[in-house]
Amino acid sequence: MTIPDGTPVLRLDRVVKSFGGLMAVDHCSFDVEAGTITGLIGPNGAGKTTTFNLIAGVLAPDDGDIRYRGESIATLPPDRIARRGLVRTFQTPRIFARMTVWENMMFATPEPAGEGMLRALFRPAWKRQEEKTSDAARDILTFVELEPLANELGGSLSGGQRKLLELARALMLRPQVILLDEPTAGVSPTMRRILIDRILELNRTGTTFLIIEHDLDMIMRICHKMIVMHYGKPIAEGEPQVVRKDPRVLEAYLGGEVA
Amino acid sequence: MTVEWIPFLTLLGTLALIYSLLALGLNLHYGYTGLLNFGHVAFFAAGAFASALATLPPPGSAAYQELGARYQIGFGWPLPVGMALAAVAGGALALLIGATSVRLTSHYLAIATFAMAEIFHSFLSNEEWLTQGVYGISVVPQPLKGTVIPVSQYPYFYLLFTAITVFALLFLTQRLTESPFGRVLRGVREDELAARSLGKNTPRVKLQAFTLGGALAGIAGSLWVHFIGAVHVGQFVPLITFQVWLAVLMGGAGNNLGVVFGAFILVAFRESTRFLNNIPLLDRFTAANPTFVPSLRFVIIGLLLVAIIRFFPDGVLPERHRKAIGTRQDRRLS
Ligand SMILES: Nc1ncnc2c1ncn2[C@@H]1O[C@H](COP(=O)(O)OP(=O)(O)OP(=O)(O)O)[C@@H](O)[C@H]1O
Ligand SMILES: [Mg+2]
Repeated sequence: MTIPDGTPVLRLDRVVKSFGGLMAVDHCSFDVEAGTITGLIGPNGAGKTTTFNLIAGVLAPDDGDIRYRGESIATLPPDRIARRGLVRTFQTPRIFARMTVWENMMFATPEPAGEGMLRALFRPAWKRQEEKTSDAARDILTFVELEPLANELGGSLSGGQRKLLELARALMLRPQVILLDEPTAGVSPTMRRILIDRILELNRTGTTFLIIEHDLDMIMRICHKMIVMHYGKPIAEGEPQVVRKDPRVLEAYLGGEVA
Repeated sequence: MTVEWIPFLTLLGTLALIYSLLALGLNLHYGYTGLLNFGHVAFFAAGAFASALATLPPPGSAAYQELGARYQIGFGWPLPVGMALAAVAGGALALLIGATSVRLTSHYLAIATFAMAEIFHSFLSNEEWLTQGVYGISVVPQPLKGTVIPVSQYPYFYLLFTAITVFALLFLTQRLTESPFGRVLRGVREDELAARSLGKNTPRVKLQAFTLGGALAGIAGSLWVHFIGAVHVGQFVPLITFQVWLAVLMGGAGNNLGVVFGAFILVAFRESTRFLNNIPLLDRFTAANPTFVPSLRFVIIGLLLVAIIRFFPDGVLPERHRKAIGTRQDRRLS
């Protein structure tokens, strides 16, 4: 596979995050090129999820910079980052359990109509927009094959359905970049196929993905570029076929267990 | 002792409506937004004092002389102004408390709100120039009483006035919660981090909900103080907060009609305990022990809560789940 566009949409520049004495992310630098699927792999505790939390604004870096579309987002709160089109999912899905699947989708609308306290009281001011949002929600639910569950509670979904709903919900924001944290972990084979198909389809229409994944065969098949993290920093990066044979990667993955 | 039913039911209805308003406020906090507020009584007190001081005849005025009162602040404004100021006072206090503590995670928020309410209570106790301390103010105006409305008819008039006010606010609250704004609140309740990661400014939304709920409790304070015709700090004990919690949990958190219903159950049971004196076998105990009925009152309310939680874990009227609105085709057909 070739990298569609060489320009980085997301750039980490010597990002540091430590928890007490533990350097979870240690001068980590890498680029995510626009229009690509980039895989982020590494052993447990390598700092992958922490890196996502730093990019998404949940954590502030101790040092270094994170740039999205040329601007620093290192100090922005998560909501402002999301509204700029950089949306993430969670390793353990965070679904609104006591809201229906449809409402989970509606929640994520980037349209502010009716979300202000005063306008909310005046139904005609937002009713049309709600209908439009609802149509979009249904289309996306259909896209991930969850439309029949629209009126079920989020809390009643299976683990795989939750992963799908999280992706679908993120799509409501019409993101340019999506960060997926282990999208296929604990997902049944059928749903895994739907997920991967949809990721590829979205990528073909221009969405950039950064995906943390433990299923190496799968991620190598779909990604343009792979970054291997170990002890908080990338130890290898490049085309999947090359990275897979890199001795440092073999060492990182096997070293602990063999030694 | 024969029971005078009509006056009793009038009293009960008025109290239940005032508790309904308190419950609607707490429901915005907890039922919709998931904020554990254990200091609700403070907003109630803020509204009560604000409305009392706004409407009391100014010191030095003829009316003041006539009352023989000794309070130090009074503006002599009409009741609607008092109610508006009560909303502002309840909302402002909530904004103040919220601004410092609404970012805390749930259990810390519970402790912080409880503590802040206690601080506010001791503020009211100590600032005697404002509140007359433990003596309170026993001449709070009851508008139209004895002039336009005969004294004997006043309770019915006040019930009607309270009912109109509370139902209007119930309508507005329902409007607000069944809107995209309400949906944002519920998302924050379910998972604040997810809500924030989906682009919502959750700290601001929480503060808005907290302020609105505080304003509703403030208006409840106004309705209460002109109903009783007196105000003193001793009325505003944490027990009120817990009773409002009971109303919300019994009626159905996240359902506005539910919590109103819960307030009616609560007040009906609480006020009915006065009939314990009339039960033939119990009167031996009640005659000998004046604290018997008040104690039994809480036992009964406790049992009621246990029974309701057992049979209706989400309250008598649980939160309704919002179904998807029609598709394009549905709309074209209609
Ligand atoms: N909030 C936190 N406080 C303290 N330590 C943390 C925190 N979050 C993560 N860590 C630690 O930082 C290190 C990196 O964690 P992280 O979750 O980023 O790893 P990961 O690469 O996502 O691992 P996995 O593959 O198991 O999900 C771990 O040692 C973890 O225990
Ligand atoms: Mg992780």
